[in-house]
Amino acid sequence: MPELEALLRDARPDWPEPSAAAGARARAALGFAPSPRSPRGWLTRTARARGTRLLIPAALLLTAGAAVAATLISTGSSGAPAGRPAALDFGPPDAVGGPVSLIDGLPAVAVDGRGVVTVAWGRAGRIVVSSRVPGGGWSAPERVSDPARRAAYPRVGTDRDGDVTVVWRERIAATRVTQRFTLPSGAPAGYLTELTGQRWAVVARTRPADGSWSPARRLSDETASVRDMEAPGLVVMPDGRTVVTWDVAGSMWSRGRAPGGDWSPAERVGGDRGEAVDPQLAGAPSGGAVLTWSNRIETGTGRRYAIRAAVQDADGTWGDAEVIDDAAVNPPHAAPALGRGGDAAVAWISESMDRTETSASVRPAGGDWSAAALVDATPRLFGLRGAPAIGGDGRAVVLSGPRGAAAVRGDDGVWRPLPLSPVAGRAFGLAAFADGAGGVVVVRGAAEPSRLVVERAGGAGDPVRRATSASSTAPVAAAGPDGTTALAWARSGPSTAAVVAVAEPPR
Amino acid sequence: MRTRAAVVAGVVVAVALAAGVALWATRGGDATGWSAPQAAGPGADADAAVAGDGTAVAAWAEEHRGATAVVTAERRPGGDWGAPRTILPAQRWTVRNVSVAAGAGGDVTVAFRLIGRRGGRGLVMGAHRPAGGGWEAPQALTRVGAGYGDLATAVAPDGGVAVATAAVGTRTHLDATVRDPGGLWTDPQEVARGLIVARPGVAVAPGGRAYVATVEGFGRSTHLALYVHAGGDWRAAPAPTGADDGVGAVALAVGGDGVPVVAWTRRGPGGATTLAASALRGGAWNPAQVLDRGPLATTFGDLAVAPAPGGAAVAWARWGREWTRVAVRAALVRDGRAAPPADVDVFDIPDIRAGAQVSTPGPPPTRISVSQAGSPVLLWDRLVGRAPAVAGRLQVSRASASGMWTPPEAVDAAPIDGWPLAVGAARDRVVATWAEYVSPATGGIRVIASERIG
Repeated sequence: MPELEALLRDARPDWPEPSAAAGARARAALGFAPSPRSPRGWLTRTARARGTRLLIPAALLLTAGAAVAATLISTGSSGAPAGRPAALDFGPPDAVGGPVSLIDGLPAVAVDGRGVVTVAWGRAGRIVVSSRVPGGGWSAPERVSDPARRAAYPRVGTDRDGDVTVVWRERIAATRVTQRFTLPSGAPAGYLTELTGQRWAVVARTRPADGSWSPARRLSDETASVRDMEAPGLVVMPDGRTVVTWDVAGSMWSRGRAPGGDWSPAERVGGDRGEAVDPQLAGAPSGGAVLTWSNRIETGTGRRYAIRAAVQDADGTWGDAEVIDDAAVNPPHAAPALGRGGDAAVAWISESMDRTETSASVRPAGGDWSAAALVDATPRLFGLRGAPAIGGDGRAVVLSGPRGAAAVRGDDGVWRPLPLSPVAGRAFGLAAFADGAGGVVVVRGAAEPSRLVVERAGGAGDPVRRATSASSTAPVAAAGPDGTTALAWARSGPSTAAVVAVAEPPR
Repeated sequence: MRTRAAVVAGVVVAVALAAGVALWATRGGDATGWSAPQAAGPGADADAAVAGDGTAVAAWAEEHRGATAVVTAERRPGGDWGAPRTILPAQRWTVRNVSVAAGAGGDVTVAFRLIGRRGGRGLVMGAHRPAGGGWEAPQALTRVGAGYGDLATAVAPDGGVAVATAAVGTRTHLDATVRDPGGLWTDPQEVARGLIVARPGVAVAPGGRAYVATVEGFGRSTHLALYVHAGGDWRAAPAPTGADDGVGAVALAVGGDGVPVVAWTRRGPGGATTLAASALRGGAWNPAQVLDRGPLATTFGDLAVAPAPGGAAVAWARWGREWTRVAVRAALVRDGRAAPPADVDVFDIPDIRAGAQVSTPGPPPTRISVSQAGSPVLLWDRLVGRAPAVAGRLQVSRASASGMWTPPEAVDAAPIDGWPLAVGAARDRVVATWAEYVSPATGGIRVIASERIG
């Protein structure tokens, strides 16, 4: 028995205590009545019958056994060690390199199990990567894409051991046509030029920890439409399982890779007759992924966006793509989140002439998507993409703009405001994530003066404020299981650069 | 009984025939004396001009399977549009800013902008057709530069041509090229560089002297800028007094007496706006004459200046009552002085606001065209409907030798979804051209022509 207790204690994640409601749900699931409020109550409510008394240790043993089994299954499937809370003591932002081709997408950032931070961005049509070991400086930006091919929209992911995967969209074929003109005198008037026969594909490269980059691997079929594959998705789980997604016409496609294995065949995740736009992919440390996108359906004044979401189980199987909402007339900028337990959430915005609403839908593991619920509304025309996250307790949190308000979904399904520290100025970017300990961290970019405000959604600790350059893009965030946290953004304006701020845990 | 049925049937047939005849008559314009509209095109962009003999010339950008050609057609007085003639074979670049100008002597120039696929770069090309001759091959009239901008073309009675373009971009510049009467195109020259904030006006006098007028500056510190091409070079010319601050729009023409006339709007203290004109006589601008005043910064809309016998005609649209009533006014300039303006038309329009909370103040939507030769003729549109499509009724008025304007008369009985392009007056007829959208679903613009004898 002491061994069992030690095993349970060691295997217990360093999460905050579950909420009272979560405890009540667990007790109800086990068939227990609401817990007594005092030892006296316990004594008065304990069954006196011998048979009933014997049932109690049997139930305890059964529960302990189930917990051990669950822990072993979890360890076996994800290999995730106990995570640590995200460090928020950020050092000064580092301008890792530049320039940044903002038209080719924003910088992407990842943190591996050792605390190594890797950032990737597009530089003049090429994808470059730089990494930083704990306590060290940034490596010189390394080009990973073919210099002869224009590349854009990078994504980066790392596993627990430090293996890095980078994906991007690459122009794999094109023919340049040039026409020269002359002035009436015969002097050159210049030329017009264009590319024809262009083809694009999603490409990936990997680099083992302390190794060298693999050759580029084309993951998708080629497409002739420049509107396809504009936002490849990438999730690398701690054990190395990898999921990549991309859009072609109205459909979403995916390939996966097991640790040490090869890429699986391309699989259609879902889609519709309208163009698939704005795909967003998110994962969870325990495995699995959630993909959301919108199909632009109908035309003219009847144009709408049908938001779809599909969840991939921890074993790599995609579920059906479900329509979550199809009422938006403007791009809904849907964003997904996946919790450790498989709970998923999607948040999106709906803009009208004088009001922007943020709505959300949640899906318990293996369940159905809930009806759309209004999370926030502001009397402004333009909104920010909402940022959902699911904490270790399974609760969904949505950060929404332009005020950067937060809401949490209660057990009764009602979204309630979640107090955050006041932030002056207009929000220009939102991010939210669950750290290794299951706590939700929210990031708000605020203008005038330009800065990032980072804080725990639960209200623990004071917010951390870091100044950014006057013109910055929306931030992206990543946290490693050791607590290392990274925020990345692009400094815009005349001197663009990829900027990263890192917070390291005490070592 | 059978007789009664026959009588009833006869009456029904007679009424139906009468109704059909009435519909045919009103559609054909016979009720107003205008010929049935005749269409040319369609294209993604189009323009038209009317030469001094009443010949209408249309040009349009014809797009097909990703390739674009520039096509023209001509309609002689009393006839129909002739066979379309391709002046730029189908090619890969986008064509926009199609601009057609015709001189009193019958010379025609079509200028247009070629734009690269991504829109970032482009150049202006032009094709010329001398009076009685054939079309020359299109010629690059500017260097490759910014992909978008304004374009203005003018043809003098003796065939001289000037083309001016102001690019849109961070380093705005105004380029112009000229063609001497009977000569060839010259290389473009940069006329001005800086904050060019208005569509340039361009004019050519007989003999080839060319003028460009534009507005330069920033915010409310905008002034009228004039440039003259003489001796092979463009040089800045003094501007009329009273046009050194708050200038909003400008229009320019060389009058029938060879005297340049420029008109402009200027915003003054308190937001009120004035509309003024001046003539360049003896190398100096006459004192500016204020032709109209308005209480709003947006009082004045379209502004046009055109040659007229012995001078020029200035025409403009203004709010009679903001949002719902428009006035079309005109003034004749002779001997360098403008006559008091006349109310050529005053009409009510449907309120064009999308909603009081979301509409910012704007000028009246009326478009005005003025004939470039012969006695002045105005062509404008009265907005009569907004939904489901914009509908306008075209109106024409002609100035008599005494300077009186005839009452407005409708060109076509049916409202149009389009805008006026060009109007011209020959000895015995008036020719009007306008653009019409082909279909809200498929897009496309076609050029329509109609004429009235007398």
